[in-house]
Amino acid sequence: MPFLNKLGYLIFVSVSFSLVGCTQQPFTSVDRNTYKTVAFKPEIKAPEHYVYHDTTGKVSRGMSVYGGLIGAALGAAIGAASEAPGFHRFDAAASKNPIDIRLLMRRHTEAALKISPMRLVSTDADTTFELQIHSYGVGPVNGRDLGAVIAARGTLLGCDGQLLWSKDEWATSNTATSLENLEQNPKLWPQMANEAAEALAKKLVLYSEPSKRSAAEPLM
Amino acid sequence: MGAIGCAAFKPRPEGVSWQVNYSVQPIYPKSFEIVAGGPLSLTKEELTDAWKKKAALVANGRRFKATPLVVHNTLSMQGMGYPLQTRTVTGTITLTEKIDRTEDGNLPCEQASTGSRIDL
Repeated sequence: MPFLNKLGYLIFVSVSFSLVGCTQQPFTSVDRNTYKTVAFKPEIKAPEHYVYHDTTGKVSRGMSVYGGLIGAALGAAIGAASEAPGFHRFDAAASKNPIDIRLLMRRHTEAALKISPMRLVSTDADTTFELQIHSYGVGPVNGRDLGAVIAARGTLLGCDGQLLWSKDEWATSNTATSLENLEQNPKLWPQMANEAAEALAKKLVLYSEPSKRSAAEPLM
Repeated sequence: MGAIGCAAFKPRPEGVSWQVNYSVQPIYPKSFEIVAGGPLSLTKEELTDAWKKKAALVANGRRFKATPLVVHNTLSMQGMGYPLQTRTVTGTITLTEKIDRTEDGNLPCEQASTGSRIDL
């Protein structure tokens, strides 16, 4: 199992670095004369487990409560072999207030799309907005304090499935806290995840200047 | 080039340490996320003051609202292959007065000004 942990981490790092450096156009650059409406695709791809990364540099992956029985069994097995010293403590705190990462991201992305230059509709849209969550979890975002981190890709497709726009982004929560405080206040986990989701949706949809792809450092 | 020009030639506020770096990201429709960052030797107060000066500069005399400022100390691996410890102050301002837009609907590059009104 430790081998699987390391393999998964290496894949995550490889994917993260492969995303670094390219200039990305903002969502607001989409031609609004041609494409006026957008529908949000309800199916969101997301990993079934979150990433835990603390300042010791050890990474673990826990299960999502929405991962199903197989995911739960796998997640528990990986968790049992975890190398990160704080993983079990965080997992215990997070399980008291589980989050639905897809629901969080959908809520905030739709809210951002409503503000965007395009009109959000449910049917007969000119375009479809797809969201794929690469990874999510907690990492050191303020010194040793842990904050929520989410990395995702937004894609805009035309009616014929043509790729119109795509952007990779990651964001962290404003709130960051120690593991000890998180154990005493487990509600901080959903609060931090909500803040990170809101920040990420804003970066994906409402940032209006070109940006460079970068790796989600707190999860590395 | 327009975007590069905006990023490269944004004016610095007066009286701010050369160690302070800024990042200004326009957010549709009329907000700006401003990050003031520097080495850990800069205090939270110094960076907060630098942030406020930049916010006034970005607002260019227009009234605005600001979110509570977030201070984070971060360890970045992007500095020449060795870890860099930095402190950042981040906040978003939203202009509350009508602003002019360019033909493509984007916000114009900020201009230096004095006498900005700040509602922090």
